[in-house]
Amino acid sequence: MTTLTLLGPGEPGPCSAPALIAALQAAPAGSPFSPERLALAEDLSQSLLAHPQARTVPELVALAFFLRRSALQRLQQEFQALHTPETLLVPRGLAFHIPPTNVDTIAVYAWALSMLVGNHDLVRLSSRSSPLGELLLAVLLPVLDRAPAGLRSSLAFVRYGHEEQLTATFSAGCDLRIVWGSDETVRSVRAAPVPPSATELVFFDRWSFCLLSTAAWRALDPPGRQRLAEGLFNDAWPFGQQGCASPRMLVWVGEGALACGQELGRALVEVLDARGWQPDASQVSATTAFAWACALDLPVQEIQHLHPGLWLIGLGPVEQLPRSHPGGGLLFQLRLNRLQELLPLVQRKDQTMTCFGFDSDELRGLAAGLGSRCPDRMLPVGQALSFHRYWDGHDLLAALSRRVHLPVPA
Amino acid sequence: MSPTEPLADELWALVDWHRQRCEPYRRLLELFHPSPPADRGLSELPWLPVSLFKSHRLLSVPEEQVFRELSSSGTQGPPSRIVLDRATASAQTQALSRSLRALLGPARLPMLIVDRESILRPQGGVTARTAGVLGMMTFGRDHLFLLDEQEQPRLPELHAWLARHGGAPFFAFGFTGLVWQGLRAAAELDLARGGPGPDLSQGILLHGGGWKRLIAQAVDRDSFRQTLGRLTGLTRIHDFYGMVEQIGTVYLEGPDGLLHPSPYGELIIRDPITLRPCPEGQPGLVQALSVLPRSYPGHSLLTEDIGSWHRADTPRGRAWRIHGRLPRAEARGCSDTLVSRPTATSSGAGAPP
Repeated sequence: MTTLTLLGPGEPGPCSAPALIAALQAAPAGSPFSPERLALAEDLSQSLLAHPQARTVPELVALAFFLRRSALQRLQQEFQALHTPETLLVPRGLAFHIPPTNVDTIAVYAWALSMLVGNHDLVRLSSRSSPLGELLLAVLLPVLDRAPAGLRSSLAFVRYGHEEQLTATFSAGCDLRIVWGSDETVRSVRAAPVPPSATELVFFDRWSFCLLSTAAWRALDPPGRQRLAEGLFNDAWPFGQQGCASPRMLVWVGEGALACGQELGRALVEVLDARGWQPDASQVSATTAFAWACALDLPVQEIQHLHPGLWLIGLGPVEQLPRSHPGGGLLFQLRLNRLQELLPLVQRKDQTMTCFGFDSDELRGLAAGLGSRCPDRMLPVGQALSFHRYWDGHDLLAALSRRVHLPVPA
Repeated sequence: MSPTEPLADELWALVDWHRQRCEPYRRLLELFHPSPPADRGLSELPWLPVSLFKSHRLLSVPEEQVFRELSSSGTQGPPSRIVLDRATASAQTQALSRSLRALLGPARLPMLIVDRESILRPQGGVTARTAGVLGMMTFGRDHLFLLDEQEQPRLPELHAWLARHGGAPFFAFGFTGLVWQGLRAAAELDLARGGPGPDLSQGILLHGGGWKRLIAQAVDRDSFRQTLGRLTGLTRIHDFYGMVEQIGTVYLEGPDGLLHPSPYGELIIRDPITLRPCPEGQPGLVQALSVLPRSYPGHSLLTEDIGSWHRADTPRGRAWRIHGRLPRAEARGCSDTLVSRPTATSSGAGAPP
């Protein structure tokens, strides 16, 4: 009895793993940013925006924007720019995607980039599914079905549970494995070997925070403060504040941080109120319990519960950042006098540092000081969750491709 | 709130008691309630999330006075650790005794325990189930454990026991799920063997603990009572609400089917999101108050139970219904279970600028 289900393209139903792998390997080779690949991505973008339900979901609208025609053209130019006179990028071959347990937009971003650079793609969705994931599939599968036959035969979205044998079969047949998940998941997937010729991209469990300059905050006029609060809201509140890139802590640098934190707190309450933000009861209970435990476990200096969906927990000096977090609108606040004080606190686990009030030179200096521990992303507030070809320390356009060295043209 | 709050003064005195004796409690009050309320009413009482007793061992007596440590058999996460000194343990026993005498009368009755005897010898720490059975056993005599080690009814022993005690009022006790399972199994087994079914018509059944398993089987309060009544003749069936964190403060089901107040405590129902007191009938989180805990700051706890209050013929005009437990918050995020849901935002969460 097979537990492997092909979702699409084509007729959904049970299928055999070896046959599927063989079919994907036999599909005609793709070329990067070929017209039919661009058309497939654009079709997905347009279909998302045309879908009465999908178009109301911010995460799906963001995906549609990422794949809109002008963005694809820019992406193609960026890809062309990766070529050098003596190198050429070619697809890696068959990419086996293992997204986070529940299908989500992030899996589709990674798939889309892989497809665009010319790979064949096998995407494994888990047997658990979310309403958003189902909605996304409902839009995606007909788009795949409309693709030209050659391209269609190089793509497969499948669903199965925890069958290690299937993961082993697909891993053994791929040229590139892309794994998203907790450290635990990564370890268990790694038990299944990929061929010696294959490479692997791993997106493991991460932590993120927001760096703010008190001087820059104080210089903002009220509308500017409101915009910053909106940006922070867009970074931290979606995904229950449990995305890898969701900031969990505000790190203030400079004088008067206590007052700045209070002012930002009030601005955030206005954003939450204006949007009618309602956290869910179980989340409130979990976050509340966490906040109380924090008060006993961390050098907490003050706690502000400003809204059911907003806790601000001010910390005194710490030797390391607290990296457990319940989500649900809880922001630690750490106050530093100088940017240098951040250096010992940052770890390899830290992915995204959204920033406000620091110029590029300061951030570059910080990156140089942090070296291998530097966060993968140092972006303006408001962009924490924006997917980009640069993700988790990789340039995905390059990492999904193979670079061929050849003579410089005459 | 109601104009008469007899417990408020006592509870506020306990706030001060624990503040002076439990350093973590003092710290929590300082952080979460930096300015004390002007009105020292019941609903102004500071609470602790009950889960804090899972992560922290909080005590308000010197270590050498610790007499017993209870741990709840929580199905979710680590157990609660409740530290008792002699005075608190004894106050809790006395309180329980007074509450139960109202139900059982002054004399100790023969007692049928719907559990297995080995529950008295727990592996590891003392669980709420063990503590509950042990605590209740002192209110009965001539105990019979209905279930064997496989939690199957011991029918011959039951018949022998009923022959001696079944003709006059007796006390029956067990956790709700076990009572449902054990008493039905006993009756069905007896009927299958051609017997008349055990006659528990003289019994006063007290049962407590979660309804989770029963609700999963679509068994509600009425069908629980009707089925047990039909199979065993039981008519006096009383649910109770209590927790290992506040032993001795029990809320017994009255004739109206509601949980009635304890002389030692009170329940406040709070909106699970705003945490403000709920109006009558609206389900919310249960905040449990008890004047008994002195060795640990468990006098005002915000639980994860969902309940509602209703007007009733009781001293403060209130009685309660417990509906179950708040579901666990689902872990989300990139790490393993990335479930996202549409946010309440209209502009792009994650939309490129």
